[in-house]
Amino acid sequence: MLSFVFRKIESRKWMVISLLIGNLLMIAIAAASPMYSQAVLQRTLTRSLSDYYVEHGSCPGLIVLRGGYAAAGKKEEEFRKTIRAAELMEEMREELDVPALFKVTQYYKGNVKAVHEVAVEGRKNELTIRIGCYSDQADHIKIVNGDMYSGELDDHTFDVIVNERTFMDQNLMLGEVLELSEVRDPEKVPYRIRIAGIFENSQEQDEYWIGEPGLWRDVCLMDEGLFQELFANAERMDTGFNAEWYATLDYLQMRGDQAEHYLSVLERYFKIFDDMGYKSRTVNFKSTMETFVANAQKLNITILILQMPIFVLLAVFIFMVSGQMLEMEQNEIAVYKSRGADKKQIVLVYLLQSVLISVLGIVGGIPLGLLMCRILGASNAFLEFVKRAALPVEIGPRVWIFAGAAALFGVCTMVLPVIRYANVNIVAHKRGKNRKSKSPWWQKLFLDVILLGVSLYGLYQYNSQKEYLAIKVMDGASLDPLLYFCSSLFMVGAGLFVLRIFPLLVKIIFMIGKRWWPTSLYVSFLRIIRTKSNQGFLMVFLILTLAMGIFNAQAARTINANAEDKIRYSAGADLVLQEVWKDNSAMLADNALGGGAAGQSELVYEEPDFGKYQTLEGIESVTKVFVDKKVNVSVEGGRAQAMLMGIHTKEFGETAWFKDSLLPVHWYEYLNAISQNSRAILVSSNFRSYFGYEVGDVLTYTNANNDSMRGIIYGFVDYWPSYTPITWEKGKDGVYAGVSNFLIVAHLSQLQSSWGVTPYQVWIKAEDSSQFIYEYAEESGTKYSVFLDAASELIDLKNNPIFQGTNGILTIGFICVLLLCVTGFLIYWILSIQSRTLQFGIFRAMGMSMKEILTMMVNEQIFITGVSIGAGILVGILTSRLYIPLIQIAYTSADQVIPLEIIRDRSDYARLFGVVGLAILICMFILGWLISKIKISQALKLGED
Amino acid sequence: MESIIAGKGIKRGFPMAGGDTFWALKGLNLEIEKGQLAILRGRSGSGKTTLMNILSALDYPTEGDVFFQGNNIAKMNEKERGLLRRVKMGFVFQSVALVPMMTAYENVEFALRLAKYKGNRKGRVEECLKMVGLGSRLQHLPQELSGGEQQRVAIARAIAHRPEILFADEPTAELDTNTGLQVVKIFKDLAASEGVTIVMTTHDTGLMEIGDVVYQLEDGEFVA
Repeated sequence: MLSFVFRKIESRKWMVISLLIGNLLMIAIAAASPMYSQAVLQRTLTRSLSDYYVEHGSCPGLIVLRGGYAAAGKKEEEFRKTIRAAELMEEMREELDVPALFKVTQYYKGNVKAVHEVAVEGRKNELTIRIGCYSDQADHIKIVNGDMYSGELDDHTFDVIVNERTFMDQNLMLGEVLELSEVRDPEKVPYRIRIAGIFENSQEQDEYWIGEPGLWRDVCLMDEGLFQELFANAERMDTGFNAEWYATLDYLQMRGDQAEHYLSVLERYFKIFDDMGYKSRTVNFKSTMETFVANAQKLNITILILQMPIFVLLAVFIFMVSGQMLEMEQNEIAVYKSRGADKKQIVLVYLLQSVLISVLGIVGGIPLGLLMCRILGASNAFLEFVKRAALPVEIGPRVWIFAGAAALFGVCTMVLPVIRYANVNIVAHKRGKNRKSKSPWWQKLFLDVILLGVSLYGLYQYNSQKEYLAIKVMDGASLDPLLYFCSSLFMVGAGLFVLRIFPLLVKIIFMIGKRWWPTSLYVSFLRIIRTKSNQGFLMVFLILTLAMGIFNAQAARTINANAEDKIRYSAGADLVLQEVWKDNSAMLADNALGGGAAGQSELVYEEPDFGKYQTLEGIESVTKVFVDKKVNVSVEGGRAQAMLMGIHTKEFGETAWFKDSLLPVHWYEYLNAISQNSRAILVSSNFRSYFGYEVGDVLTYTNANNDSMRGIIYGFVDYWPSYTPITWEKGKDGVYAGVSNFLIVAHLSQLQSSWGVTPYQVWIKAEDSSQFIYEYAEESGTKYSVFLDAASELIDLKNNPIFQGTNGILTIGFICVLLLCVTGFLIYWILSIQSRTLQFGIFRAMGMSMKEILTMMVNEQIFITGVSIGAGILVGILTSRLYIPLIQIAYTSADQVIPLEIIRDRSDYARLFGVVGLAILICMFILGWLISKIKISQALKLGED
Repeated sequence: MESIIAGKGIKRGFPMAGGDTFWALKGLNLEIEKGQLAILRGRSGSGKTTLMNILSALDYPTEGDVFFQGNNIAKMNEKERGLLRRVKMGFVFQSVALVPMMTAYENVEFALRLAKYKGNRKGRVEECLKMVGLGSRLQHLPQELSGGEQQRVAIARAIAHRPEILFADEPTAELDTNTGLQVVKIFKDLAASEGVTIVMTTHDTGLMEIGDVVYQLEDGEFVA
């Protein structure tokens, strides 16, 4: 049986290779998805944990449990708890399965009263200190003065060491003794401490410590064993103490795929700790993990959804190729069947063949998936790659599951059609061959119309709930699978629909010139019209391929460009800064306390030097922008609150970021308009729609100090740099509601001359990177109360795993599409030529020239391929138009501030056409070669069977 | 009678594994006169199809010349031969070899298109189909016709453009004796009514009496 399968494969090696390519890609993509999401999530997790470190200055892997023993109630039980807590901490850590850098137990007695034995003038005689010890503390400190503590109790006196700061702050002296009046032995004799030495932490950066020991002001460390003997003695249990158990986990070894496990372990143990009454805990990585889990789910869903169409396309491809192969082998199958092979045996042969292909697919697909992951990891935007640290890719169990599922799916796609064929014996086969080619089943069922209907209905539904969609995204939902599915359905439906009307179209063209068509065109037209199902599959495939390619490209570009535009628009300029201004508010406050004594009563600011920005290296242009978010406007029937922006028109125009397409005319026109009059203002369009203002009306607005200004309206704007027309706010009932924002743009000089110079923002257009401002801020020590860096936000965006994943998947999808396009195309045509060898032989025998046969093929290409390409592009553009506005909602997080623009990049088309063109060229070349190779006499011989 | 096609010392060799040459035709001479029904007979492998392919400008002889109406077609290029085949020759093949997506009518018309037939195409097509006894089933696709009917369409197609000579390679091989006889009879009638020369191969001894001239082939040589 197996050798039979091998022989069969050998005789159809090209088909089998194509099938292998299809399976390989499918398995690779299936395997790449869990590999990629795991890896990118790992990278994200490690990065956000590191960010935590930078932001909080505390190791993200830290887990702290605080408890203690009060020496009251059921003493034994209470005391045992303190021992149990340490054990539980260790058990928890083991279950978390992250190696700990340090495991520390701290025992201490806080608020201990200590009295100097020797009173010194000028210092407090009584101190409040804390006495304690950390396990293994000796390894992490060094004595800088005096001696290390001894572990002995000598006449109720024990040694302690302190840090420099405590030593200084508390006015201690080396070797002096203090009495702990309230800490006594069982005989009620108070203990005493001797300041034996001064320590500091042995390494500057030591994750052993929580916080910086150098900053302690009241801590005395003593010998650990002695502490236990005196204060935490299981034999005596006579005094209380506090305890802190902490473990510093190695956060670099935390695994993204374990995040949920970590959280569930923590939750379980927290419950136990709760029951013990130990309610004070700190887990630094907890919130990071929680956000991570939510994001991971979102990412996994997004990737899966985005991959779906690629899978469908691959399945169609495999189906197409195996269908072609079956078509070719139909004769043989029918013969076997007639010779007594039963259905099972025939299916088994194909099953063996498919399994073989799938196994090879897995063997090659997983490394290919690995390669894809590398590509994904380096994707920056659509078809754009950067050098990044390699992704920590792993081949985990999920990868095997996904790859296995894909392989199984491939086997099913390859074997299922066989069952139909396996029922047909030679008689039925020949009979079927003689039957007229009928409309395919989907045409009879009007599947194309149904699919289009369903997808458009979905589109309509979603369009009418656009706001609801946006709100769902604000609440953390990911891309809606159904919506994305609708776009795929639309493509399939439209593709099939084109197929339905295609023969009509060709028929019309054919009829028009039936009398005049040269023989070659005549033949090819007839062929196109009469043999539907054969080319139908190729056409649908080509249409889908191109449509999906275009859709992928446009979706990715739009999502990226839109998110970037939104960042730029919302910021207003590359850099938006506001320095902390010095003012006389402190003096005013003093004055007020002092009963309003004579002097200044007005808030006066000290304007920082603005000129320095003009000379700073790396700035292209800079301008002052005064922003007051709350000015009152008296409008008809009440007051409205608006954002006031004071600008220098020329500089503002040069500095701010704005998209020309947002306003009906170029926005410079608006700036030019108000530059004519110092009292001229621009206001947001809602002043017109809500309150009926017109151009030329005068608007009065008042600031918080009740100073009012009047401006003449010179124009209305829907959009303005950094202006958000509507913000969505979640109400108390949890429902989001849109709030309209009002904007007034006035001249800065006018505002300053009336209201004085008050803190304004500095808007900067950077020449290149924004790095210079960080250097400047650090060097000069300038402090900013507002600091917006659009460039760094853009970098964050590009590092966002969802964006990265989306770009990566769409890119891979696009590349797959290109690959499939070429392979599918070649297979179809080569097979089509091979199966028509006899016909070509006849044509040649009847005196048709090579040129005529080639013309015939070219004509077929133009109609079948050309129409498919055209239709594919059309369908792609249409799908993008219809569905991208909805799909991108999932990526703009909250409010789509500026209107969406579908981005079409010519280079994508160039790539697509380049590849398709190349495929056609290769194909024509092979065709020409194949045709020229056909020996007429041999071709005729071929026809004899 | 004037000769329409003549072969002089036709040899055809096929390279074999090991560098040897297999000679399918070993130097044949023949001359067929206009209006004759010539039969090339022989067992399979005797070289009759090879000879026919060379006579009909489908294949080149390794050595020797073929004169068609006085022109040496063995020395013509593909283009000239194509034109010749298209205009002056007609073909009927063993396997029916109709264009599957064309109806009976279109198949015949196709030959007229190829030969750039100037007259009334529709009339000629119908005439030819009537001549082979297929007046009615014009709009049927080949697969809807029986084997005999298909072969008749093929003959109609082969003669439609009024070729000088008609080549038929085992036209009866796939037909039962009765139908085969009918087909041959059509040939005979055609030769008479259209004045077309017919060269036909067969392995069927029963058909031999019908031919005006019979060439018996064995291992690439004529035997008496």
